[in-house]
Amino acid sequence: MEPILKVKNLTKEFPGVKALDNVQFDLFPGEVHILVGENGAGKSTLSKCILGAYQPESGEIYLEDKKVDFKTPKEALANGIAAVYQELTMIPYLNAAQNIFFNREPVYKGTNIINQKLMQTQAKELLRNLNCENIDTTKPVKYLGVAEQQMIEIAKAISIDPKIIIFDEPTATLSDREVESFFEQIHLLKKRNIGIIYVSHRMKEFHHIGDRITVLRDGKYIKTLREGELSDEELVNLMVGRDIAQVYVRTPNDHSGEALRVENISDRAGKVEDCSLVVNKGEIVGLAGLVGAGRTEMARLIFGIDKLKGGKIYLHGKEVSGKGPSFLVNEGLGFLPEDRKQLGLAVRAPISWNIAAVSLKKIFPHFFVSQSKNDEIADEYVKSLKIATPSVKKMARALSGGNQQKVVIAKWLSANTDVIIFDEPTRGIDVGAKMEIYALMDRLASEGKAILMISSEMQEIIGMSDRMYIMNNGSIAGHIEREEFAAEKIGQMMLLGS
Amino acid sequence: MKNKEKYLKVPPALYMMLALMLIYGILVDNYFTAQNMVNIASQAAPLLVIACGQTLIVLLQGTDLSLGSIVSVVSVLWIVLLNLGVPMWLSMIVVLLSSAVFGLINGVIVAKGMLPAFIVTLGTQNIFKSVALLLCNSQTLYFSHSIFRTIAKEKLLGMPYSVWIAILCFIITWIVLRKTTFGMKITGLGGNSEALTLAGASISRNTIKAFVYAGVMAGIGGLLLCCRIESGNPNSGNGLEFNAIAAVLLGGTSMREGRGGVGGTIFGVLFMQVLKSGLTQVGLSSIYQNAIIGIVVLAAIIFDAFLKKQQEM
Repeated sequence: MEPILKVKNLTKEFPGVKALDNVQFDLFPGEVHILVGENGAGKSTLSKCILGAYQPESGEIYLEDKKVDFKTPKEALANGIAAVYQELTMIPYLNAAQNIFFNREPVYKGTNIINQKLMQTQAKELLRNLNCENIDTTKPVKYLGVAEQQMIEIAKAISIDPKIIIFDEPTATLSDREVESFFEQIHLLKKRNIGIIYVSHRMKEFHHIGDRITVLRDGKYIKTLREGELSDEELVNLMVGRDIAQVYVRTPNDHSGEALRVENISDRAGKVEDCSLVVNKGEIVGLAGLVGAGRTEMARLIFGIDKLKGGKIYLHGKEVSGKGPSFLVNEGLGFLPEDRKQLGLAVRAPISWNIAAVSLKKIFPHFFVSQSKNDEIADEYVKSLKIATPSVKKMARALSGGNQQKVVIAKWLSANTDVIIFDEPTRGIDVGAKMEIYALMDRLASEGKAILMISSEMQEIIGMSDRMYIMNNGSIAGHIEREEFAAEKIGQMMLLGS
Repeated sequence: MKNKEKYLKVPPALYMMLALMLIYGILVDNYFTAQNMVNIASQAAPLLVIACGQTLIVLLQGTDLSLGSIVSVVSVLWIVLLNLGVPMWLSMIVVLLSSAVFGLINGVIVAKGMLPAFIVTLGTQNIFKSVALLLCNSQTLYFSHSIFRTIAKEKLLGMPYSVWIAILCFIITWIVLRKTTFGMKITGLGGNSEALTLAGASISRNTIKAFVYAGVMAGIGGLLLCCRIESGNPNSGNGLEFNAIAAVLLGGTSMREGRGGVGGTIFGVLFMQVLKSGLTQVGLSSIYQNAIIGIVVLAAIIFDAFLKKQQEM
């Protein structure tokens, strides 16, 4: 059998980075070819080049032995390459049919008036072929579940009768049951001889659907292998390019005294129910769980962003239940949100401003601020945290992900924070910078700070935590000490509860 | 099924309007007469047309602050043309074309400059207003023609023609938003503009189209208003853009996610007009009217937001 897609020696450069360096890739009809690699390895760049969203500097892409050079996703679409993106492209107040045929609606001849009946029939037909006939195609998709929306995305991709579908982290927003029915759809697509490029780093999924796996690292092609050829650990070593033991370094220290105690808290939306945990000084405590298990919601509750329905929170032995963020920050609590660029930083403001954002009142108690003093303080943090920037006057968005995260950390340190919640601290950061963040977290713990770390990366949470709580469906499903860490056990608790 | 009820629900503006009418019914003698209802409807006609256009702009997460000024320019320009001896049919076409051009100017600056509609139209509002003042030398212009009375006063099935024209504009806008490919894109622009790009549709072109549509609607609104007051007044459109925004928001259209549509706007318009006409009938001095309108609109929006929050809990 001939491959339907061949990629040869593809190179794509962004200012300062080779995002893809001489990468090769191929795909057969009816095959699921998984693209793996750490964040920043080039998975998304490669799929975007195939889709025509990026134009490579050099290299060739062959579709059915014809050389192609797509300038836009629309051209790729017209040639039978569809994509299902990580973020849904649904328009919330349009229904399933309107979304599936968006910008390609069947119209009455010579008009722009949509033939609703025909569109509904075709949409239902498409969904029936995907075994999703129970999706209401007349309801605005906003009122449908995420999984149903995901199915509509797939129906949208299939509606152009594609030869290739690219899935970019499609299960990130799905629950386990939804993931299962999603995999059934993938198998149906395979039967229809559609070639599937599957971008993911969730290793447990590979066994269910993967045929071959291509590993990318730092923009370079590493290896293509059959599914099951290597163990998960060997695969991780291929992805990371070094032994995991070297990445996660923890200095032994003593954990003296309770810093944060959470007792039986619940939120009003029902995302967190009756959860308790303790973080001691000098400790890094992991909070593991699947996306949607309620970890971020728990962090928001602790930080006073969302209102408690019940339960108590103590900071250094003092009850702070029901207090808002501004009070808690004064008491030494800090929060590094998952979405660094939206919530953690003012990306268009200078680094120095970002570093002083929380501690302004501490640095300048007398109403007036001094830019030079602000810069001086920021300079100290730039030096001590090794933030790579020519000047603290640069905008935060000019920094790389890792350095941005350091600025967020500096922001809390400057406010004398001693209990810090890290939500996905290394998301979107390349391997080298990750190691620096880990080293920094280790240093903070040794200095006696208490850290609660939310992470979806199993290796990271195992590598960095002293203890770990595992969340499942809004509740704490388990609590494990470092000596008893085992990926299988943790994974089981994440999936099934205790 | 519970979800279904959520999005089929009638906008609260309708209930609030009925409550208002009850209050007025008690306070004013002969409030519930056919004549009074016809009066309210014919006063509401220009606002309805303008609010139809404004609905599109709100759907794409903006507000067009220049619509009132477009109404003013149009009403002045129309009378100027008629006074110059331009035939009636031609003058109407020229006027509507010019309102399309005003919309085009807004749209091109917003779309190509990637600027917030609020700021762009705040600027053009003043420019268009000056054009209106220049055209008439700051005077109210008069012209006498039977068509004014015909449109504003003569009735078909009990309602003046102006009301029917407004209803026609409403129906057309409803069809455009719900049944055409363009309508899908407007909903998409507010809901998830990324989806437009990925589907190969142009964000800027559809934004421009929406502004042109809003401009033409303001043009028609200006013609209707002109017929009612039988003159061209450079201040006739003052504040209409805000009333239109209030009506659209009260009608349940959201500045986020592309929620809502012109179906709710009509209730918002009626609410605004019932409120306004009633205050005059009650005999309240115009000094207090604005304050009362402001308070009621604010209260209505707070009430609406409160209801929404309740639903989301």
